[in-house]
Amino acid sequence: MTTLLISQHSSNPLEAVSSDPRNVRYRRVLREARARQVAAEEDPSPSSEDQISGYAPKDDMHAYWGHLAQVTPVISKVKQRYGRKAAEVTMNLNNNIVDLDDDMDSDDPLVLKDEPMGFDDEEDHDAEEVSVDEESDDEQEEQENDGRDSHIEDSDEEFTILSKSEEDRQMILDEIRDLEAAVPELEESYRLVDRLGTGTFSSVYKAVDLFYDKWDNRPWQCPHPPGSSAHPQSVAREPGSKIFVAIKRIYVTSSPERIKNEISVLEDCRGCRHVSQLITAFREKDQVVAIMPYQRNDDFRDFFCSLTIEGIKAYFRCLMRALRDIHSRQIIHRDVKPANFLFDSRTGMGTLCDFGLASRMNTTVPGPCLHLPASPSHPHGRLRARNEYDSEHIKKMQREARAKNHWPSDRVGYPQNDTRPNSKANRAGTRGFRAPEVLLKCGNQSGAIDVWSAGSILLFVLTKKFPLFQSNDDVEALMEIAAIIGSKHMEKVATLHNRTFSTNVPSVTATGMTWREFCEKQNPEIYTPPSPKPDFYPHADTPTSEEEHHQDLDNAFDLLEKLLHPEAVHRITPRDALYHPFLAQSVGDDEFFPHPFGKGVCAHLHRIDDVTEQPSVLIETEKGQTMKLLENGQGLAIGNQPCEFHQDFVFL
Amino acid sequence: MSTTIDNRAPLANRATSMSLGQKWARAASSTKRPHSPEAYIDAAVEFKRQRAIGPNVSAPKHKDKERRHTERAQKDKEFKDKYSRAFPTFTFHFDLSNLEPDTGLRKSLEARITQLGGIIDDFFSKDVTHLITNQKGEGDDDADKENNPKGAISKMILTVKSPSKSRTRVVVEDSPIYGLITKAMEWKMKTWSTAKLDSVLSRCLEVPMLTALNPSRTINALQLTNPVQPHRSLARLLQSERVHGSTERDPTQKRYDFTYFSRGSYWVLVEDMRQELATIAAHEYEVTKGRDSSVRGSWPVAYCHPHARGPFIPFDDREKRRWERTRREEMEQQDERAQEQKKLLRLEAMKRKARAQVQSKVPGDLRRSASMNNLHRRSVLEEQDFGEVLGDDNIDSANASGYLGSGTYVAASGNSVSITSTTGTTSTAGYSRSRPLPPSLRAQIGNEVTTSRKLASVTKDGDGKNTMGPPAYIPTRSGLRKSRSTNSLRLPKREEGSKPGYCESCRIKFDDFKIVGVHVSISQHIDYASST
Repeated sequence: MTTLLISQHSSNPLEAVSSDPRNVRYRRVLREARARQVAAEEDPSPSSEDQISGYAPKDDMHAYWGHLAQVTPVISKVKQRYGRKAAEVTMNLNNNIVDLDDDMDSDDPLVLKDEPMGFDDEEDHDAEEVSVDEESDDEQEEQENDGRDSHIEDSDEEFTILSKSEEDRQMILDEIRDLEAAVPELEESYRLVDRLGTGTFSSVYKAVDLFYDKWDNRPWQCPHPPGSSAHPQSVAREPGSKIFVAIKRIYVTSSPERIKNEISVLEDCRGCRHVSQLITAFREKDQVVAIMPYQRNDDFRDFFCSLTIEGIKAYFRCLMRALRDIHSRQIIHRDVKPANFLFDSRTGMGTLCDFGLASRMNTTVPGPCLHLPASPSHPHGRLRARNEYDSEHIKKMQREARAKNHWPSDRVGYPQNDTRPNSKANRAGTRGFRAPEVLLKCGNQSGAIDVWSAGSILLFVLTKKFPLFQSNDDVEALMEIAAIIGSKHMEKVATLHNRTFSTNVPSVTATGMTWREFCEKQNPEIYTPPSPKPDFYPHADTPTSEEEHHQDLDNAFDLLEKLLHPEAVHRITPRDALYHPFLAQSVGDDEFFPHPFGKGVCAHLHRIDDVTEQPSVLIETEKGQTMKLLENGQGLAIGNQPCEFHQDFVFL
Repeated sequence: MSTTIDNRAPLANRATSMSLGQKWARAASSTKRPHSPEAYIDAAVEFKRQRAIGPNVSAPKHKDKERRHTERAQKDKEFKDKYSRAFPTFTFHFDLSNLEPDTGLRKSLEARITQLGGIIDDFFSKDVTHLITNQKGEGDDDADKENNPKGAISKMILTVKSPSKSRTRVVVEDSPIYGLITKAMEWKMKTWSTAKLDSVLSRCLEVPMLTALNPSRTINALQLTNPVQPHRSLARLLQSERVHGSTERDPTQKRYDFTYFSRGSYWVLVEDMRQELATIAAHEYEVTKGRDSSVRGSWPVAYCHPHARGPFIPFDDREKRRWERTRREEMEQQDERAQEQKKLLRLEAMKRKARAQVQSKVPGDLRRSASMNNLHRRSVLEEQDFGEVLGDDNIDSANASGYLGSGTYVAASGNSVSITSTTGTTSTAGYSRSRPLPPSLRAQIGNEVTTSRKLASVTKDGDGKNTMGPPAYIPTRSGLRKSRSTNSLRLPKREEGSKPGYCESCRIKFDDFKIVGVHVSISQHIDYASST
């Protein structure tokens, strides 16, 4: 706790006391913030904790509601209740909120590294794409780290390209020119300054948003309350400051279906916390570009070994919140991995990006598996009732499969030219991060696959090794998991997904080992408390006590075991993970959960328009109640609070 | 009647629906009813008609339960009426060779047939209208269903001796039982199983069936009571085996159409539990026996050694060397960082001193540089009380050799050459040259990246003689050239081989991603991209 108190805001640029002329701007902001605060008759001597109310919510929120009142005729009385409530929450939470300190330029790069695979369709190109181009990855990550150690100001961010080699610079400039030629519209609103990364289906560029103030940014900024870790996103940017965006150029060779899927998924993810938000998108003939906020980030390899326990918690809180929010919208990311989770180790802020492989959950048609599809009450599905399947047949097949383990290997075979159809399960994702159900080609996958991937990230952090799984194909990946969890667990998982698993490989023992053993073996020094790292979030310089460290690790291992539960139906849901002792905070996550559209306290006033399929809300005007069509992201009800349109409604 | 209901459907295709008069004319053999027991040709014609009024049958689907119920009752009644009327014209022949010789079942069936006025003929002749056998006829399992167009087709094909089915006929002719059935078909008889006969009889007489209600169980019962006669003939089994492969076999016996793992190998096999899908995963690991009877192979083993790069990498000699190397490098890097820190401190101190020197403006000292080594030494020694040095500097630099007694003897050994040199280019020469490069740079220096191809400015003279000696004149270049840090130096781009590309719209693969740029400008892709 002490570490928290001491450290929270030391990276806060507002506090930086320095003769460095660069800080002039920061100091100006600080002065302004103080002035505002005094005007608001808040605490006259502002501490760093109050900076939140200093530069953000009240005035902006009020302005927002004022604007809403104008636009939507009679939400006449804009209640200030929300604002007051928010302030209370802030006061109460000061000690608990870990990732509030956000830079003035609170953006991080949105990087697409490898997007290795496609969907499993008729083509087998998917299988070929499994091999992730690690090399190009490395190089690119290198490029992104330039200037990591210094506080980067707007101007520095603008000229990151200068730190690259002549050759690269020329190539990037060529690419930028090419993109500007392909989508002339871009030049009107953005000035491209650098490339952030490239992938299989797209490349991402950094650009300055020339007319940030001209547009209505609220739908994607979303009114996350000050207590929420996603609040920095909602804070309006300083007028006059340079706003950076990430421009994702989706290659024209991508199928229209894939592009449509990504854009629609991103639209549906508006309002999700710690998820890269779609600002807008352009299309010029076959070229599609998506505009997202730019976010600064560090290479996972640079911090995963030195991350303190508090840093690990910050990382996984952000990740779990992102997963919770997207899964509640029936969206599976499918490609959760460090390269797709942009984490700023200085601020402890993370953002899930790259929804190129994301898919929607099948919640209706149960497959042949022994589990049911995801449902609101069971987000990872649940086991079928005993009378719903032919247990006799299953037992018989299990017995046969197990018997094979002991047969001489030249007696075990499989059909040569199999005429039976192949499994059509979606296996998009990255090797080393695929959950057992993906490897077993379960046709009814749920958000549990993202949770598994998150669990493997926790493995890296705890073993201090990355990467851990090096398989080249799905069979090998399955065997790697089997070598750890043991054949008994593997058989059970196989049965759950209507498969039989048999092997005589000696390294696959019956019982395997726990994930905890797996980590302890590889990282025997894990129990010695690490020396504090002032460079990284939470910038602590006091070491944690041994007992505290032990307790944290116990919790971490317990969570690890639950995240990497081989049976999807028993794997912990992101929501429960946020309430797990390792990640739990004094104010529950439900308080800040942005409900999917049409859920939450004012759900009965929300509707999807029958004709346009746009979200709409019931509002009161002078003429009585009317429906108002909304943009995606508007009408967001958070926690037990109503959405911005129903502030003055009374909910019991 | 179902057809009546169907015809009333408002959205049904009127053009193809039958007129009322037609329906009356065909009352006895309406579409939904089982076929009348007349000659087989009738069934064929019927079949055609059925096709013609096809759309009629598949009219609206929102029939409520009640209506369906009454419909079924109506159908049952119709069925009963029709068959009761037709039974006296039927002549049945029981296929003795195939039916169990003596069970109560046959007797009771015969009794029921006679009750309905049917005739039983023990002699198989043209007069027989129905052959009762449990031997499945050619074609589908549901050939029993006379309404089934597929069954009808296959029978028809057989009778017209279609060449396409010639292979099947060969099988058929081989079997005596098939002979009977083929004959029956040729003579346009109906072939019924006992179960079907039982079902028809029970429906007409409205009495419970003799065999169990579940038709599938009927067959089972028959099977059980008749272990000698399998319900499928050899020909049929062979045929099914040709299509699906065998079902009943000793699982330990090898099959010709299977891939087997090789002897003594390790393998993994993942199959669909329902066996509806192709093998999910199968992989064989080769085993190599080590000297000490240990086995080695490429299957993953969770070694989980703390010093290996990954859990599946054994910590063998090679890995150990690698680990030691990286650890050494890490240590060196740490040391280096510490040294770097120290160096920075020193430099800082020297700068301050230099500033102080400039400020003190000591006249007469023309030396342009001081021995850096000595400066170093001094800054290290006097880091703490550096303040004192600031004022009285000149004594120190005069005694740069460190030998205080020497007074002003400048040329003493140990003095930097640069002190006496007249050229301005070597002022810092010698500094840090002899220090070993940090390990992170050592690899880079090996790559020898040329940062500038220009030769030193002296070669500009034209006569190559001067290259080794000091330049004839002081280089005109004003200011020092900025050196390039090897740290931020980028190595030439690695040749990574071309990245493959794929156009998902045109479904064309490319070996090189760069070709994609060409592809998207060809007409096919543009057509695709610009089409709505």
